[in-house]
Amino acid sequence: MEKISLEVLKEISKHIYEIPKSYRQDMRVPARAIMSREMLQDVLQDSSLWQLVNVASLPGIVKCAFAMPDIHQGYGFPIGGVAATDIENSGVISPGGIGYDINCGVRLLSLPISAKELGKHLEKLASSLFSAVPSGVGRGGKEIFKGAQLDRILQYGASELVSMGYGTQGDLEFCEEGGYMKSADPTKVSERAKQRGQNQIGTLGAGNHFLEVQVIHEIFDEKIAQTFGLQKGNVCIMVHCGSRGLGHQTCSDHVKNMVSNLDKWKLKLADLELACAPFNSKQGQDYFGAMSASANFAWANRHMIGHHIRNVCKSVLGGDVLLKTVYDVSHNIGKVEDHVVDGKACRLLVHRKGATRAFAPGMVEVPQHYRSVGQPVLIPGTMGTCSYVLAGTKTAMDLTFGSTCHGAGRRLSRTKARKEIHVEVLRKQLEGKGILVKGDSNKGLAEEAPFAYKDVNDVVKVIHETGIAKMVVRLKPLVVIKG
Amino acid sequence: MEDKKDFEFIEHTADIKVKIYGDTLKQLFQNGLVALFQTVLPKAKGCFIREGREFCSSFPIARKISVTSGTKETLLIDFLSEVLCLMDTYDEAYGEINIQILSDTELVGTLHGIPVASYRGEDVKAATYHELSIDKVGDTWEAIVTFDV
Repeated sequence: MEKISLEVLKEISKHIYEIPKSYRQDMRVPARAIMSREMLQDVLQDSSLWQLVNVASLPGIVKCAFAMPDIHQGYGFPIGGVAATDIENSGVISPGGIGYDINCGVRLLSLPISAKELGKHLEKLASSLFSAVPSGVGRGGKEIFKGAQLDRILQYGASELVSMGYGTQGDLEFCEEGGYMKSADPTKVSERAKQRGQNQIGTLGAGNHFLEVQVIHEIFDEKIAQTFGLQKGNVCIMVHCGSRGLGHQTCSDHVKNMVSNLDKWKLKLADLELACAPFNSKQGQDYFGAMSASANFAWANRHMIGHHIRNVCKSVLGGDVLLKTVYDVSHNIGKVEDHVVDGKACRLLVHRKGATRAFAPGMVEVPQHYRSVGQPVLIPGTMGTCSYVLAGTKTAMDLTFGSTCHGAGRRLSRTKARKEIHVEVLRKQLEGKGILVKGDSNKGLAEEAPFAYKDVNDVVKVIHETGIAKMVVRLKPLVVIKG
Repeated sequence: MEDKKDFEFIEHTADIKVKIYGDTLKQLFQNGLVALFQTVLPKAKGCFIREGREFCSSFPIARKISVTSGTKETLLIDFLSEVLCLMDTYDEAYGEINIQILSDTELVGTLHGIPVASYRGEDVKAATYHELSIDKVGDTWEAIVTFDV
């Protein structure tokens, strides 16, 4: 895999660097990296931008292939990338541009109590959450959903769980898509994917997935924070996970299907993992229906985790402590959206792989209650540092199809991270910062050490200064439960 | 004499990249399974870790596997994807395979594995087609595979 050199990139405005379309013959649009010069130096060390150039060669791609400041090398598409294709003009859909963990995302819940009030209950809360929310590779949940019941969840997502008595209507109101995509087609999700998912609703999984108890440490925009119901010193709970084995299997099934059909559309791709199909072809529609159903499964998963958290909080803190869902966003997804490209209204399939929707104030997709200030954007950081809530902007609509970053972004491989720190030293360092850590996997914990990631503060600063989301609050971890 | 390498990990920022070796194509596929097993590191009775590698006294479970694909390269990925699916479905991990049929487009065999409660290694979401290759270098077959974790 090749790397891009610095001289190829042209600075077109502060924090925006462009690889021109002329760089490689097969590019259909330029590739743009949104980051500081220092970050760029780091990013050029791996193949992230070469992967972005590959994305810029996809059939039907419009405007630019975008890299967010948290970009890192992935498989096929880079992680932290946005690519939109014109579906009314043979634009493609690519499962690799969405990822195997379909609708991996973040849910934030707020508690009406301060960290000080939580104080003595913290250890109990941490242990109770750790036992109530299964985490780790291969860990299943308490509930089994199969057959027609699972199909209804694939069709109606978190909304179906509410009708079954889990969670509240309010949780749905403050969830991207209201908790389910109407484009879902459960018949396009294979039986084996369904079998893998039947005991996985309400489970975190492993890797970089986590559940954190956090405190709102700093407010940057008082008005928006108030609208989101976030007060300095109060406690929040953040959940990061996705569609588990069901989503992984769905992606594998459909990538395989597209790989075997590439000749049919005479598609020549720079990497087989970019396998795609015209959005309006049978294969494209089958995948979109299956992806939407898997996304609904992920929303149901995070919704169920929210339900378990609510029960734990009731039992540890008392029944009058009411948890509110602040928002739930996806950062691995493909959406049909209307955007303006070169002054013309277009219907696009926006691939966000490691990128978050950041819709502007006034848009109907933003919950009524938040519409005056923009969509909440949830940016998880690393376990030793902090996370952010931002708000979507008009600039994001104009520049990046209403998209922004999704996290800190990895900079060190897992092997290097493990070599650089012993897990017990890491635990002590985190405890020294007042952070309780729960997790069965020492290996996993060391791999997720804060220094293995970019500094989330730098990432968010670039986002804020570029204007593709606005800083609202910073949250610091009190408890980290690692998957 | 030093044992011949079956696979090795290659540096990758976020995922797990492996280089797999085999004297024959069949052994290459067998070692692909070993690479996956040594990436997930199952926690199971009768298994232990020594120098980062998992060893099991036996593999009591037998499960049939049958995969078809377009080329030998995609067959390797589709085979590993099928193994991942079986692992997740049955809570089992497979350390060995007896391959009965292997061509460029078909694999039929019997996986041998253990029941697994959890894993101490990586959460492998998928075997990807990213930068996939199978080459014969001298007398040795070599493959590059990237696992999404």
